[in-house]
Amino acid sequence: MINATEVEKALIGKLAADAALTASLPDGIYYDLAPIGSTRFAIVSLSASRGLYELNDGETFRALIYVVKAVVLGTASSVVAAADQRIQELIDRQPLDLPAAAGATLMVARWVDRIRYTETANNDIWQHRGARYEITVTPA
Amino acid sequence: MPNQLVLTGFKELRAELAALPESAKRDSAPILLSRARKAQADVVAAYPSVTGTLRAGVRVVERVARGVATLYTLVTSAPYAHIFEFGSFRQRPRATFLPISERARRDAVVAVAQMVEAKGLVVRGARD
Repeated sequence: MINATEVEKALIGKLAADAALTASLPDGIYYDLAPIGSTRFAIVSLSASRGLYELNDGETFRALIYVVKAVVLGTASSVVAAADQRIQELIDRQPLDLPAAAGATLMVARWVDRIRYTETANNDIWQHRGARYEITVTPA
Repeated sequence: MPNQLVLTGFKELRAELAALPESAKRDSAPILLSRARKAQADVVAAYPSVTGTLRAGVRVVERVARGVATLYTLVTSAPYAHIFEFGSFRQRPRATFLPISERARRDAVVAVAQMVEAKGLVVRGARD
């Protein structure tokens, strides 16, 4: 049985293990929310999912679509742009090592669509930049 | 920003619709509209209501397009809809519009395919 939580842990683990990305985003990679006080971080969050049941009433594959974005305090775009680019290099059409506990193997990881917006809050400016990525897995 | 979805606007379906006989084009419009309206209702129901702006911004926009009877675009137009969907620096993303609209699009493709097949035409290719 596919364990999507393990897929998410593998994805976050891959991002967190990359020295170039963590140099840009020293506060870390988090699911849904970063700790209070973080100013340079990445967020992974489930955007949509679906399963396909085509063969022998079993689950043929499951597509998990994640928001993966860098969030940076400030107006300079170089850091958030570099982080966005590095995230894409790490995920789009790249392998993802899934543990046995995931119960799945990777079929494809791919960029889906772009996310970019600027947020103002309490006189601060936050830049959000990333993409939605589809991680499609099949039962191991 | 992916904050709108063209139910019949993606290239393949639109090309297929344009190539259909007139009766199939005509019959596809209410099918697509019903899926768009259902998606609109589902998104409105899923959005919270504080000022009402988020819910009020969910609309189905009808457009007449060349070669295709009608296009329906589901739009979420509140100025902070994208922040609701993808999160702020201190609020988690709350995926709502995209999963509902994407599911509606898949349902619409299947429904149109079934209608076309009922007219005796052959439908090929993935529908998901």
